[in-house]
Amino acid sequence: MMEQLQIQSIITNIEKVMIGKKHIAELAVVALLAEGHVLLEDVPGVGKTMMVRALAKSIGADFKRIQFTPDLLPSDVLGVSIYNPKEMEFEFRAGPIMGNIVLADEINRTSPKTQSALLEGMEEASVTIDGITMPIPKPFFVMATQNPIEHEGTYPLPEAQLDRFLLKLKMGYPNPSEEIEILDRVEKLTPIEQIDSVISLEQLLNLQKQVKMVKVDQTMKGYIVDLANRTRQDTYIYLGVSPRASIALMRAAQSYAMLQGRDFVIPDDIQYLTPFVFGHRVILRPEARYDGISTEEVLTRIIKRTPVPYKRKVSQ
Amino acid sequence: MSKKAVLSFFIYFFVFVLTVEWLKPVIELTDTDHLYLFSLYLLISFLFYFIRLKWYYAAPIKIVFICWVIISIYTDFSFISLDAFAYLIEAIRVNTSALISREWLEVTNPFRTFLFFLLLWMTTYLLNYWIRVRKNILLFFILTILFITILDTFSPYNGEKSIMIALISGFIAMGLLYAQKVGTENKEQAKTPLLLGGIGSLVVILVISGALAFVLPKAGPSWPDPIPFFTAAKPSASSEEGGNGSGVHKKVGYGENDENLGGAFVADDTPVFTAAVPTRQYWKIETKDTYTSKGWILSDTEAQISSYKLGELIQSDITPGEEERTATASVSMSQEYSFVMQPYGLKEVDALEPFTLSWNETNQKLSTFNGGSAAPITNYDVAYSEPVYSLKALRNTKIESLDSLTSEFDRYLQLPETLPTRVRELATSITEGDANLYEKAKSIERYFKQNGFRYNEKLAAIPEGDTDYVDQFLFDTKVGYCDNFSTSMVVLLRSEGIPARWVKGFAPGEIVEREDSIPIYEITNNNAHSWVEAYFPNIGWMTFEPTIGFTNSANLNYDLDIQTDELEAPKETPAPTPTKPKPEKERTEVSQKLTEVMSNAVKWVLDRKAIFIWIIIGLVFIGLLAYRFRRKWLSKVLIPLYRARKNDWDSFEKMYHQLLKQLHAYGYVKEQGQTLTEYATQIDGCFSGNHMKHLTSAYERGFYGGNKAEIDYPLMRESWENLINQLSS
Repeated sequence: MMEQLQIQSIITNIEKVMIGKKHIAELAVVALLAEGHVLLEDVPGVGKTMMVRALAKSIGADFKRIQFTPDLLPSDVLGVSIYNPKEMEFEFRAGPIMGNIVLADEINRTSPKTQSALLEGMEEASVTIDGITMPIPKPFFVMATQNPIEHEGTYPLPEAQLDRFLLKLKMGYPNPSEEIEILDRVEKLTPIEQIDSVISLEQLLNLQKQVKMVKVDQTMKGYIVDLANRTRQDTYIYLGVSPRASIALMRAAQSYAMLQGRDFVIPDDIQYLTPFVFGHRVILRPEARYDGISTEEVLTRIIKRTPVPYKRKVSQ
Repeated sequence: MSKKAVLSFFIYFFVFVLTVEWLKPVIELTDTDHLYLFSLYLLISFLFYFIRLKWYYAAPIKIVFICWVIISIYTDFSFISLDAFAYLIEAIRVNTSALISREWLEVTNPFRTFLFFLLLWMTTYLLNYWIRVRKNILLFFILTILFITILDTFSPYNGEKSIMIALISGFIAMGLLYAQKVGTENKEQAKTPLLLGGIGSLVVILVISGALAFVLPKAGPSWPDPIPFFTAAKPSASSEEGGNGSGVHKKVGYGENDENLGGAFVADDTPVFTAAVPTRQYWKIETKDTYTSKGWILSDTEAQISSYKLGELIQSDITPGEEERTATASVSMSQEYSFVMQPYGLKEVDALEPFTLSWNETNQKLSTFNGGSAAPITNYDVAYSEPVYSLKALRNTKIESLDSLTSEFDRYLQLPETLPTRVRELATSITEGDANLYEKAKSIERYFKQNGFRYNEKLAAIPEGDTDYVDQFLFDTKVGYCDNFSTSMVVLLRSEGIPARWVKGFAPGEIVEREDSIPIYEITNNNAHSWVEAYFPNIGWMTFEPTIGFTNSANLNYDLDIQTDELEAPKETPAPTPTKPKPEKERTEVSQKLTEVMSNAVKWVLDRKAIFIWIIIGLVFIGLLAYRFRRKWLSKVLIPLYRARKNDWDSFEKMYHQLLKQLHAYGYVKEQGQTLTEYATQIDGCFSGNHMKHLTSAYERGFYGGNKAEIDYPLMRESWENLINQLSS
């Protein structure tokens, strides 16, 4: 229960800044606790940055922001060794990736080379420069955003890279009343400056450890695998999800269960998270597009058709 | 009347017409009269259902109607009279005691009529349910059509018109019901013009197509009419071609001439006599001793006639039983017969008129004379004491004792020269291993009840040419009536050297009423019967009843001083002593016994096929009712059932799954991809509460989380019982 309170305090804190986006905040925290990264896909100005900053502030973590541009080089992300004439040796200057919470803004604007530098860092949780491997300090959480509208001069992330993100979220516009509330809040103050950290980094690391202790019943693992398998067999799906996606779903479910104050995963967790975990990992066939069917719809259909295990099989 | 009421009126009317079409063939084929009374009853029933008369008004009215019908059919009393009332009370008394003592055959005809009314009551109740609740009578309609067409095809009933009427009224009723259903579900479509248009076109289409179908020429059947086919297949048909004049069906009853047995009988329920007698009796008229291979004649032995006066003890070769068991039978003849119907153990005959009696020892006939010439006797009392046989003595009837029989028994051992040897061989094989004469006779008697023999008055064959009557029955046809069975048993007994004779008379008949608790049996021509008497040295004559469906066991005195288990299984060899085990033999004996028991059991079941079928139908019906009304009793069963279980995870898991099952059964279907929590939310939305959510989260904690110890089981049980109860109400 302690864990739930701590997590809830982070979310409440974020909510002070972000109006009406509780589920996004929750999911971001879920990814943070599951040691995963988030890809936010939305138009500018809906509060992506604000959320990441609020999150960083809530946990008292180091916040770095990288604005991706076409001329950005890998060294701009990872860091660079500079010759120090005084010391007569190369000195490593850490890049922005060496932060706890990193906002990679408009990740699809930069060249694949730079993109993959970031993504490798995300996957390995360390960077290698000039043969020296340096671990990235924990916790390490990347929130990348990409603008789905502009395609001119962008380098869309290849599917293999997308797999590195635990969740892909869409922010969406606030509804009118929420928007009015936003205006109310910023009228006189800057809300982001009003919030303080609610938990320490140690506590966060501890929470991340706790997430792995959340029980995933054998039937739930079976359920996850069943869902994954069905994406591989669905007629509308060209490429189904990888086993890494199954792992991601399980991890996210554990994290979400803890957020709900449970120490075990239930099918509802898995069903809720499946679109966010699997959404960016499947490639639809062109037929789906002709039929006007979106990835979400395909996944919803799969969830609907997959029997939820709720009793032991006789053989067990 | 409102539009709805008109619709409903027509529905009930057409269903009534359909039901009458059920009634018609039943009434016609069972020779029941008064179709209009039963139809009237149906009409009243449906009318009551139509006006939705409360059952506490409808039921008494219906009962009064039934009583009125019974009184007016069976008696001449006026309905509102003390006599009628007394009659009803008496009928209730007699039939209840018959039911309690399980004497199914003794229930009276008024009671049967009453039962038939009850059946109609149930039928109309069910139909009302179909009309009102289910709004669907397709099943009943299909059954009606099937029923009529099957009867039309396989029985003398001509259902041509019935089929038309049933078809049209059935379709109209279904159409109207559908219209009603649409009306209740959807107010828009229920508007009068639409409804009228729909119903009108339905009626027009039905009438036109029905009329066309009736008028149009039809192709001939691709199969021939099965009835002549069935008739041709039966064995007697071949003999009918033999041209011995027996093509005409004989009528059942008592006749003097038995030279040519066989052939079909036509039932004849003309009463012959009634007898007030405390126990059911076989009424013996005479015996015959010479078998001609076609039938029976009397040997030309010199008749030994002795005359008796009324009230004089008659000396016959069957010794009556003890003095204190003497009883009296009062016989009242409806037909003119100048001989006495003798119960077994006959002692003396009394009548008001001055008759003399003449006892013929040769054929055992007791003729009546008045003024020197044979005269029919109408009312007389017979004193008798049923003979009792000592089982011990019967067990001691030695086979060797047959050798010492005097020549006067020769005529009871007579067999025709032409008797096929296989008959004798059969007798030997049946009685093989029997240690005494009684066992032999019993084995032969039992033989007919097993080996695939059937009782049928219509299918009995007539032996043609050289065919032996007994041989044909025993080996070829195995179908026949009393004459076949009794004659065959006499021949088999004689083959084994046991003196036997063929007895003619009447079976006990049916109880028609009671006088001072003494039943009065009515004996009709249908009860004409024949059976067997066998003679055992030192015992005398004893009756046997080989015919399937008849029972007349002689009174036995179980005076054996041996152990009872041996008594019940006389054929068993003594059990092997433990010191000398004979496993091999034992096993074969056991397996033989098992086979015997099995075949007896199968036989027993097959003999009571009809009862079993009815029992099965009854059980299915009860099962369906129980399923239909499971809401009413389910909670009462489930809650105590699970209350007996422990408060632990295993029983909680079972209870939870049981609950899911019940919810599913009541139509709260859980989708495949639906999680338990979602389902629980849905259920609680229907039942307004949050019991299901409580249960589900506990179940999830135990099942997915493995925290089985933390669940508050008693609380869960409460929620569970609450839900089950809500489900049943």
